[in-house]
Amino acid sequence: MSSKPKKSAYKASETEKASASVAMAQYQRFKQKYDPLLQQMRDASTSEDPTNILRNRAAADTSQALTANLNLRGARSTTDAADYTKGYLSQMGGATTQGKEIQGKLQTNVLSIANQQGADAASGLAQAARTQTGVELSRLADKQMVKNKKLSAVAGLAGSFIGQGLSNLGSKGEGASFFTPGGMTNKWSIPERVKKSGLYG
Amino acid sequence: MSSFYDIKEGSYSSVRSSGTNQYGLPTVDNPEKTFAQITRNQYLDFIKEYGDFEDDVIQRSQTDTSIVDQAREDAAIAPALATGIAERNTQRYGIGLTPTQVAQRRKNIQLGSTLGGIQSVADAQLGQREINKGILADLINIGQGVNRSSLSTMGSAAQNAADRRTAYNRDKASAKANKYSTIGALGSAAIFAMAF
Repeated sequence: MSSKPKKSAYKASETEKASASVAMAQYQRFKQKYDPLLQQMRDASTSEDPTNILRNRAAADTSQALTANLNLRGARSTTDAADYTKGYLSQMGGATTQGKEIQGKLQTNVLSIANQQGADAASGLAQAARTQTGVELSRLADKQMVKNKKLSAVAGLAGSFIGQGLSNLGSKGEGASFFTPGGMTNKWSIPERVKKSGLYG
Repeated sequence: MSSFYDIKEGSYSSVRSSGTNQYGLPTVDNPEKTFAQITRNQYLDFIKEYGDFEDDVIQRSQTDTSIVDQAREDAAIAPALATGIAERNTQRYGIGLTPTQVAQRRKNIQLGSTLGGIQSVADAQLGQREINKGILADLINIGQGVNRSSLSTMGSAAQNAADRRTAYNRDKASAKANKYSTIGALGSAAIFAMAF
């Protein structure tokens, strides 16, 4: 006949005790270190709106792209200001949408962690650093640049024309006029100084 | 008896351990009771710390119009901003624009801000809808996870209850059988004794 069971045989093993002890310590550590961080994340997701950061960035981008290269043509233009308005609205709208998206992700991330379903490591704020100048803004900046280049080309041509005319007027020899250098008997012939240069033999 | 500081309560938690061992780790005399306390506290903590926050996010995912509102505000501000920039630039170069040029510029700014504003608000409405739906989808995913987890826990509890009832019925029947067997044995012994 077997003896009755001993109570001591049913005690937790040392391994079980150690596991429970470590589990308790880990739980305490989580509560002390990580729980307050999650609460900070919760508060930050409602108070520190990333939209403001992105909107400031967008406003700066717009100004840099459309007003940084100020020139006389731009100051006289009647359309550049309207382009700025379009660019500003486009950039600010995009930034607001992007910021609200990030904020929403932050908030659902907090809830996800609080519900013990894991965290999304990407905060989305890094997008702020990668924000590219918008397509509309680039288009408007390009438009301004083309206008400036056109004006510059026209100014260059006019400058050469006037410069050559003045040079003709100041040249020695008879018959010097704005369109004809002095010393030319036949105004359609090759000028003497060009002949001397050896280019035409 | 040692305990740990509960950040949320601002006091020592009701989940306690009964001291520390030689390694400084908390000792757990009754893991079952401790686990029950932790499980209960986790839920109560969530409700206390994140309950309102969760309700607020759910509410906003269905009613938020902040992007559209902001787009309308921007559309109202933009013309004055552009006019100011244009006027300052004109002053910097000391240019005198003709009244026609000034009128043309004003007209262009108005046109640009009207068209830009319409597009901006339309884009904002699309963006708002997209974001609200995205947040709602994330929330539903979280809810599904909670639902799955709770059903799993409830399933375990129900299975344990069923196992206990089965064991109880089995043991009851076994005890009854033992009792009748003992009575039978005693009766047999009595009859046997009377016979001899």
